[in-house]
Amino acid sequence: MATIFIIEDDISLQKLYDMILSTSGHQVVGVANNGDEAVKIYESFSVKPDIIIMDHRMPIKNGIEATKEILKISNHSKIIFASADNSVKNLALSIGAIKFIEKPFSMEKFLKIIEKI
Amino acid sequence: MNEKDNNLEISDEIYKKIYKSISTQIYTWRKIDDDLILIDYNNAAEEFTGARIKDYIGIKATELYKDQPNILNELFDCANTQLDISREMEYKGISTGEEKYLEVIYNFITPDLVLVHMKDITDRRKVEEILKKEKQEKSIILENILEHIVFQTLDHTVIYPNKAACDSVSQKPEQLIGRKCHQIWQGSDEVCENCPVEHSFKTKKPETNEITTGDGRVWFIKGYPILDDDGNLIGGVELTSEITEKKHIEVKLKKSEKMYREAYNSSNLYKDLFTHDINNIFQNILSSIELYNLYRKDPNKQTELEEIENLIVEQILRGTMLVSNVQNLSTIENYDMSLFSIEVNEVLKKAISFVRQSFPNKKLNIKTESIQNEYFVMANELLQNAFENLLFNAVKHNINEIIKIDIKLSKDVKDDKKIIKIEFIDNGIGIHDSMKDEIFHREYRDYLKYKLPSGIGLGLLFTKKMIESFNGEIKVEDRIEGDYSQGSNFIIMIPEEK
Repeated sequence: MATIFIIEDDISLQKLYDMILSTSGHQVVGVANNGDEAVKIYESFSVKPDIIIMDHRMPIKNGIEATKEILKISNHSKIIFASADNSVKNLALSIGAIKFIEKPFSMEKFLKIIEKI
Repeated sequence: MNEKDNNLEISDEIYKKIYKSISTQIYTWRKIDDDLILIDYNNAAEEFTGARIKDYIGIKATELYKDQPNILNELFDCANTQLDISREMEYKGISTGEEKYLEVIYNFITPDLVLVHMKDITDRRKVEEILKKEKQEKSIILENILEHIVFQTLDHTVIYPNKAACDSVSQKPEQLIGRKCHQIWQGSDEVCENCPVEHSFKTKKPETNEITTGDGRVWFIKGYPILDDDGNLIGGVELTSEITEKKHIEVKLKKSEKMYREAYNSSNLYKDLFTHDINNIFQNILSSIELYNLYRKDPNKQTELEEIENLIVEQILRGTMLVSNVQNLSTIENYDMSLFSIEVNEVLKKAISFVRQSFPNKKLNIKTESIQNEYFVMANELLQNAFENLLFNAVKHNINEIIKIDIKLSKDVKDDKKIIKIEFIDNGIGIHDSMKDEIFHREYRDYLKYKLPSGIGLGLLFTKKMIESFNGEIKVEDRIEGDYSQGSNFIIMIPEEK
């Protein structure tokens, strides 16, 4: 079981990720609507989550910017990019994301990646 | 023989030697009675005639030149008037039959001699003819060329204008030669600012410039310095061509290129936004279906199943809106939309009804506040789509159980124009301050830099373009000033129908 932090501006997807992960026995410890909010929430965690699910195209601060800041806070953070924007895949991986999963993806694939980590 | 006579005899011999050895042909004629008789010739004449001249010693001029009256006349003119005559002539040798060009000088020697000096100038004439022909050819080129060519001195006095240069001011060459270039073409006593000829005088290199004359025509001017063999500046050439048409074409081309680039950018933008949004929609639907299959046999998951069903319907609606926005954007950009009188309340009612039907399971509290019953603007049927987009976003990007949207209609004045103001005030997630000024004011190419919430991009872009096509504008403010997270107020201002 992993503790997971969801960073996603699509409210429906936040809900669906929560349902998928909870059903599979994982614990969603936080949800952020944008990169800016994500960094603030991440800083406030006394115990950092095992995994971060990160969208890219979000208001105020995008996924790349948020990833850089979160990794500065803790370079052990395991960030999985889950984005419809495939053009940022290489950049995301180069700055420290451990996996990039392009939307739309299946629940099975999503969970396998989390379980491997 | 005394010494004096002896000296004279020597002089006579010397004279004869000089006469014989001089390089110019000399024929000596003596006037006897009414005719002239050939009495002597020199070596050059002998050589020129192939030694046949000796056969003509003693011949009468009237006999020798019976077929060449010009020569005969000139011989007699010289003999009778006792004046020297000089001319160039084409001559067919009597003895050789060769056609030659000769320079002929008739000298009268008192009392009765005529010395005819003939110099063969055939080679010189040939060279001159070639040069003359070349000059004529150059002249033809210069006179027929479309560019204005003006040779000028160091103080810009015109010494040669070609036909095109003359035609440009409807003058003849003689009316331009001697006048200053800047007086003729610019009506100024001063040398033109940035004159390329003047500049070329300083740099001793060709220089160029572009000028626009008072009549709006555009000219491309090249100035060339003219240097003598020692490298001294002696004048200049101005070569001018009219490029007005070319400039117009360049402007059209740039405009066309800009339009193409905008079309390309907008096409890329739509593709990107569409791809991104549609993939998010697919993700929602795919995850919903997978969860639905997981939960459907679990009696404890009935609430979740209902939620998932609603979510699928919402995503299908979101996809429909997305397609509709792409179609509408294409319509706005490709067609001139006609505007007509529209009553805003009626359009709002239809848009609200659409949103209510689209979210049957959401708790929507939509209120309209309007002082008057009717507000007329000049718009078209796409106004409803613009309202639907704003309402849809207000519902979609809202995490409250009760979604509140207050719509206020009022009249206002902006820039001395009467406008209708329509405010959509929601309690949604809001627009951060850093994005407020940017979201409606950037160019297409910058649009992708926006960090807008997923799904909001094309809808806002369409709404902005739509409102602008009604000569209106749109902006966003916080519902509660200073706290964006409490919701937004999207304000549309459209000119009132006169």
